[in-house]
Amino acid sequence: MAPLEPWEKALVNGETYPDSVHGQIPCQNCHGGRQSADKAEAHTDIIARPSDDPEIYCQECHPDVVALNENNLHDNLAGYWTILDQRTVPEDHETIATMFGNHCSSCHATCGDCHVSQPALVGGGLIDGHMFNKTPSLTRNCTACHGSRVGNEYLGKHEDLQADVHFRQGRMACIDCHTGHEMHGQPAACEDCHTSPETQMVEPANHRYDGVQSPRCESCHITATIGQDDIEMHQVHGADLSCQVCHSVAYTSCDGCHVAISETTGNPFYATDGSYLDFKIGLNPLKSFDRPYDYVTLRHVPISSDSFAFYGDNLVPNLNALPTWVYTTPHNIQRETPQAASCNACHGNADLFLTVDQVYPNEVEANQPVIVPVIPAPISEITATVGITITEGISATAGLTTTTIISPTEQNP
Amino acid sequence: MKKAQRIQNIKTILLSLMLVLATAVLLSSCSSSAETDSAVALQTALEPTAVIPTPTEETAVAPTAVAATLPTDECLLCHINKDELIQTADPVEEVVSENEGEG
Ligand code: HEC
Ligand code: HEC
Ligand code: HEC
Ligand code: HEC
Ligand code: HEC
Ligand code: HEC
Ligand code: HEC
Ligand code: HEC
Repeated sequence: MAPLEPWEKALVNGETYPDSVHGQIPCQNCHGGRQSADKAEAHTDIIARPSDDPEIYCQECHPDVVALNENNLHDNLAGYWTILDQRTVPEDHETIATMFGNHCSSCHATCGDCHVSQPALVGGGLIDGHMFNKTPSLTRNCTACHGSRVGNEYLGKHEDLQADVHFRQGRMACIDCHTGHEMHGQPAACEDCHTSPETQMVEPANHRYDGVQSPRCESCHITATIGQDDIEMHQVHGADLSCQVCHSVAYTSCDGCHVAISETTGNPFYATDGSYLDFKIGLNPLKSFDRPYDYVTLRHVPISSDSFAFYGDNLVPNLNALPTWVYTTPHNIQRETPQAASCNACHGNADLFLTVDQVYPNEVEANQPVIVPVIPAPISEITATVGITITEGISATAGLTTTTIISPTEQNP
Repeated sequence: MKKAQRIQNIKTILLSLMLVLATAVLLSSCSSSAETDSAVALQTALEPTAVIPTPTEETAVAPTAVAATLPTDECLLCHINKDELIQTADPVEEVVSENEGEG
């Protein structure tokens, strides 16, 4: 998408906007400034991003959405703090907060970043002549922020890797899975929605995989859960492997992120030592009733002990408090993948698993909870116990299963 | 309730702001009709600085169609006018991102 010209970013659609609901509200009510034909004078004390303060500018008419906002990860970025709090120590939190303000808070999403303009990360600018769009744009809102990992995977921007089947085949946008309800944050109290005698408080989410899976693959693919369709892999592994273990392909991992302030421009910037496509199955660090899988896909996050060295020495003293290989849900789902082409494409295939030799030596301790101690043996070696008569050489197994699979799928998109 | 109070305060501020605006608009419509009305024109001649405080450009820019239905809103007038925006936009700053690698 071509970048917007400076004037385009500020052009209000004189045909549509003044007649819309929000167009009835004087500009100054939201943006401040002064009445003047002189630009500089008019822009005195201008409020560029009113929806940074939705309690002032939106709440009166959208109390339900605004009430949830303070618990919305998009607004409070609590996910970052959940991690930073564990890897750093309280004495340094002031310094870390400065670092965060310079490098991380620009990712914070306002109402306007999803409904009115492009996020500042990509230069800002009105999307649709200042119309308040109900439905955010996939490319101009969502992947403007979620571009380098999720966007590139979902849209198939990596060479040799296909776009996600939901995009390629289903033409689905992000919001077909990530609903407005999810994007606005869950209510802090169940009884906001469920009115019953017993009032149960649910803690607001403090990271992106907190609580129930939402969305969840099984909500749409009901039959994929164990034993409910003819696919052998689903029957054997429907509950102990996450869907992505078999249905996603290589995704982005990163190493060594460092942040600093540029000497030449004074702008904050970051640099990562490397990013690469990888695929690693490891133990589930978030195993719970809501995420029951034993094995999940993991990605390497670019934290290192000197990531914040620009701001001081030893600011990440507790690097080992959490794994550097984290739970991930790649957005490049495919029906057929190399690792699920046959049982033994996975069983006995050491490359797929996060074993100790795959982990940087200084990160082994941190990753103990996710490292796979022993990879699953090739099927021929366990047939005796399970009673499946397959030998390694006979690749026909995969072919046979395929035939039984295809028919139910056609009626079952 | 603090919030309610704040909203109330904002409302009061906004209301007074709008009153001021309305007065300003009334005044400026007087000044723009000055040339046709001889009585006012006389006044103008007597006290030119006080009556025509704003640059003439300002009223010239206003498209009549909009002015007829809405009180003149300078913000809207400029922001729906592509040429005006092109003329007044700050030059493109070449912000070369210094970030390296994926974030
Ligand atoms: C109901 C509140 C509201 C009103 C009224 C309003 N705006 Fe906005 N405006 C916003 C929001 C929200 C954004 C997106 C920025 C953000 O995230 O808060 C925005 C963004 C903009 C931007 C783009 C900034 C950028 O570069 O991304 C311009 C220009 C703008 N408004 C001009 C106007 C003009 C001119 C009017 C009157 C015709 C007006 N606005 C009326 C809420 C409002
Ligand atoms: C004076 C009341 C009022 C204020 C203030 C207001 N809105 Fe709205 N908004 C409305 C109404 C009414 C609708 C429903 C419009 C419709 O259905 O066509 C709406 C609809 C929306 C929609 C959905 C658009 C659609 O077509 O359904 C979004 C998004 C939105 N508003 C965001 C905001 C944001 C963000 C702010 C604060 C910057 C804000 N609104 C401030 C009254 C308001
Ligand atoms: C201005 C940047 C920005 C925009 C625009 C944005 N996001 Fe996000 N998003 C973030 C950040 C930052 C986080 C991480 C918050 C955290 O972990 O604390 C996040 C978290 C998420 C999460 C996980 C947490 C949750 O609340 O479920 C999902 C899913 C998500 N975004 C989807 C989307 C979709 C879909 C869109 C478009 C409708 C979108 N985002 C638009 C910045 C953005
Ligand atoms: C087919 C459904 C589907 C579509 C379409 C989809 N997602 Fe997701 N997304 C998921 C699932 C499932 C999760 C994991 C949720 C969980 O475990 O709680 C997820 C998690 C996320 C997360 C949090 C985890 C992370 O990787 O950071 C972000 C951000 C996200 N999605 C962004 C997007 C964006 C942006 C788009 C559009 C480009 C999109 N998603 C399209 C299903 C989908
Ligand atoms: C991360 C992106 C994101 C952010 C941030 C966001 N929204 Fe939304 N919003 C959505 C999505 C997605 C929908 C559903 C769109 C659809 O179903 O077509 C939606 C729908 C809406 C609607 C119409 C439906 C409804 O629920 O009433 C309104 C109004 C609205 N948003 C207001 C707001 C306000 C106010 C804020 C800030 C407090 C906000 N949104 C912040 C993504 C976002
Ligand atoms: C909101 C509903 C929804 C969610 C959530 C969802 N899917 Fe889908 N999925 C679909 C639809 C619709 C299609 C059909 C696309 C087509 O064939 O046109 C599809 C297609 C697929 C296919 C290809 C099937 C075929 O016949 O080619 C696979 C594999 C798949 N999904 C797996 C997943 C996985 C894994 C997840 C969780 C990450 C997931 N889906 C989440 C709706 C969903
Ligand atoms: C052990 C590997 C494995 C796991 C785990 C797995 N699948 Fe599959 N899945 C397959 C294979 C193999 C096929 C058939 C591919 C082909 O057509 O050859 C398939 C087919 C599918 C299809 C298309 C056929 C249909 O029934 O519509 C969907 C959708 C699907 N899986 C969803 C899921 C979801 C959702 C999960 C998680 C609950 C999941 N799968 C877990 C291996 C797996
Ligand atoms: C994408 C990877 C993957 C695929 C494909 C896969 N498996 Fe597995 N399988 C695993 C993992 C991981 C385990 C867990 C090993 C463990 O816990 O010791 C496992 C365990 C098993 C076990 C239990 C073995 C034990 O020692 O407890 C059986 C039986 C099994 N798989 C059969 C199959 C069959 C049959 C197929 C083909 C229809 C298949 N698997 C396909 C990854 C896979």
